[in-house]
Amino acid sequence: MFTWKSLSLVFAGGTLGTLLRFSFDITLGSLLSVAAVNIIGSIVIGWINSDPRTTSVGRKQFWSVGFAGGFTTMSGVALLTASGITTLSAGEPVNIQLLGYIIGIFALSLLGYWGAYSVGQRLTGDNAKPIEDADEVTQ
Amino acid sequence: MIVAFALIALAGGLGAVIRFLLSAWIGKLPWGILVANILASFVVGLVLRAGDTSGFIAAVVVTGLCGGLSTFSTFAAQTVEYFKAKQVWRGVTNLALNSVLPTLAALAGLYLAYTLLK
Repeated sequence: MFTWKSLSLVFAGGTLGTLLRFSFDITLGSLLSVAAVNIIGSIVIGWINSDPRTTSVGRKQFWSVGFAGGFTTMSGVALLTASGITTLSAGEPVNIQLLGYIIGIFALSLLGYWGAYSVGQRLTGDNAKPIEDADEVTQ
Repeated sequence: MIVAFALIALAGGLGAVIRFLLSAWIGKLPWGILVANILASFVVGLVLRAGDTSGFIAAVVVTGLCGGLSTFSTFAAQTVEYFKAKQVWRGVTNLALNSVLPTLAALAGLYLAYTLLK
């Protein structure tokens, strides 16, 4: 269910995530930052999802949907892949390095999520209890 | 510079909200997230081909709005969760669709802009 509160939390998280991604873009350059933000963002969301302290709906909306969602980018990966395909149509050979780079982003992001979730669950899952947000319990 | 940062960030927040609204569309697969990724990739292709790639508007739309609208982390989380739940075909399908369709959308955007501007 969408409420003004949930939309505000996603907006705030998305704003922060986008700002950080843009900072990575300026600092590392487009090519490196696409990999960095997606791998780090997947690790972050894996950690968030494993941590019982972030099971409240509001925290998930801010950190998972807003921040991690805004920090990572599928359109950047799609553009990178599309650029490789357009060079193919121009008659150039397959760029093996680029292909490996893109496959690496997918593989490391999925592994990053899985690893962070597993580690996070071991460290916090059995011991900590979820912190419920009173407002969300009543929704 | 600060204004540019602020506008890009706010556009990213807006993109995240649109993605959040689309994410409610979940059937056998998380279609809403897939649509968000496809839509963002199409617009990225369209804008980058049509305009000055280093321009201010391109930065706000591409880095801000489209970056906020598309997501890699949610896709990664959903895919791994399907595998963990032993729903292998869903995991594989989600991985395949999110690998291929956003790229095709970006190519379609590039091609459309190229055709329109020719």
